[in-house]
Amino acid sequence: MSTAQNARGASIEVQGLTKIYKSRGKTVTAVDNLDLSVGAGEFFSLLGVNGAGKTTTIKMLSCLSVPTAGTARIGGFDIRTQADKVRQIINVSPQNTAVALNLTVRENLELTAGLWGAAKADARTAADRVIAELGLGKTADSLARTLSGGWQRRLSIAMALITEPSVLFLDEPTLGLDVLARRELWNVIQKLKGRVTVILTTHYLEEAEALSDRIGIMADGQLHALGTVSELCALTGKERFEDAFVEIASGSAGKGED
Amino acid sequence: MAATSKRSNRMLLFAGRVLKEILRDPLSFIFCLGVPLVLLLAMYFLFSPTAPWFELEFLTPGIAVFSGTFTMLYMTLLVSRDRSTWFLMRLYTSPMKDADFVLGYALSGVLVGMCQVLICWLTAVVVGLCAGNTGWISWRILPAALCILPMIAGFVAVGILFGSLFSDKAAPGLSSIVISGAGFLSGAWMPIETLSEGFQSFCAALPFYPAVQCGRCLLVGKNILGEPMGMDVFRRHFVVTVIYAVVLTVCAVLAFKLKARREAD
Repeated sequence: MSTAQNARGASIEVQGLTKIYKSRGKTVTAVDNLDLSVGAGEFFSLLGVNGAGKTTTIKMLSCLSVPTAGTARIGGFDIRTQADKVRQIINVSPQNTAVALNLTVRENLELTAGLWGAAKADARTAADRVIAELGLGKTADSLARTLSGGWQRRLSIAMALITEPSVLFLDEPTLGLDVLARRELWNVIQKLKGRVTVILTTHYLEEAEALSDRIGIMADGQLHALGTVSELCALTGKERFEDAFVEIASGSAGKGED
Repeated sequence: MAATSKRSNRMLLFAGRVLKEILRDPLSFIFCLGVPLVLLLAMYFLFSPTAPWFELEFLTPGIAVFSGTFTMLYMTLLVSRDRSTWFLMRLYTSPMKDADFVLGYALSGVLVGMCQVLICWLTAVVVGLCAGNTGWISWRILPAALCILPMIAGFVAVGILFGSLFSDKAAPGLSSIVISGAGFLSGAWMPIETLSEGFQSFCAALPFYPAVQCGRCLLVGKNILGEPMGMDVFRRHFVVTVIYAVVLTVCAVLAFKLKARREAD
């Protein structure tokens, strides 16, 4: 588990990150020469239409997938050569259900803490803390499979937070949830701002707009634009962020700036 | 040293989780305990008056080996389901190594498999197995029950192998082919010794029949025809089951490393 010195997150430096898939003689470039810099404690959102390369980027940054070219440094550790160190300071909440369904909420949390290296007593204390923070008290002893989709997502985020990561990847955390569950989860995610570096991917523009310090918009594996909501609106000359996003994602707007 | 200890802790934590998943699923009790016990009791009570190989001395080692196939089926379901729910994807971002995953699955699978085997033998004892002429329960039952361990490890390895390679829809189907094969080719309730030599050699080259014969060797020291089976026969059959267990375990580790883990890419 990370220490107090990481409590405000770690920086991310991405240089020329590329992922090319080869299948049956076809070559698909999922992420194309991505350069990106995210500050410690920043809440950064990656937006884009389906197939833009968001999830592949997160997979590479979280050491799930090996880049074809380029690299990234997270908290100073290289994702290619120091993956073990990177894994110690990051955690991921994947876009689908990623909980052990026959374990209780508390057991899921203690298991996660233990697998990241916490001793039994520390794992129990950390579980108590996260249960209180994320309002999971009422469901702490319920099996995960008995929870609704919204509560399973909340548990999934809690499992990512219990290891006190310096960098947290949230891959479409509110996908498929109803409006109320989504809003509740936003409140949870909002509390993370400033405590940890967050990389969020989402299809909900209002989510990115409400939560993010900066937003990157990807299309065809490339970063097409980068900036705050107002900077992106100014870049496209649009008043509404949704209009700015459509223009950038469809390739009508000028390419990347900072 | 501290790093090794942390690694083994991770493996044991993961094994604990797998064990909880198995014990909290009613299906595991139906598969792993219900079916073998029903088979043992039904075959003994219905058929033992008609054929000697349904006597408890011969039937129990056979059913104990056959029951291991249900542990294999359950491991197949568990690994393939873990892959489909993204739970493993999350754990791939943890400091766990490939070996920790495979050992975690294997440890809990072997534990469940051996408990299943011991319950099977215990049931046979309760029903009347004593394996001796004195009327008292023979000490031979314990080694006969424990010698199945390599076969159980082999079944667990096949479960991990299928679960790693195939989807949660295809993998159970393949497991049922192995279950059927083990039922017929192990000689658990079929007199293989009365069939052609070619068929006997075929069965002896697979792990199922040797595993059953190991149990019979240690329990009563003879086959179903009453021919004596000494320690040389036991050693020959036991080596076959150990070789299969080792090869299948290596295959399971490779399958997990090359297929399941690479899915994340």
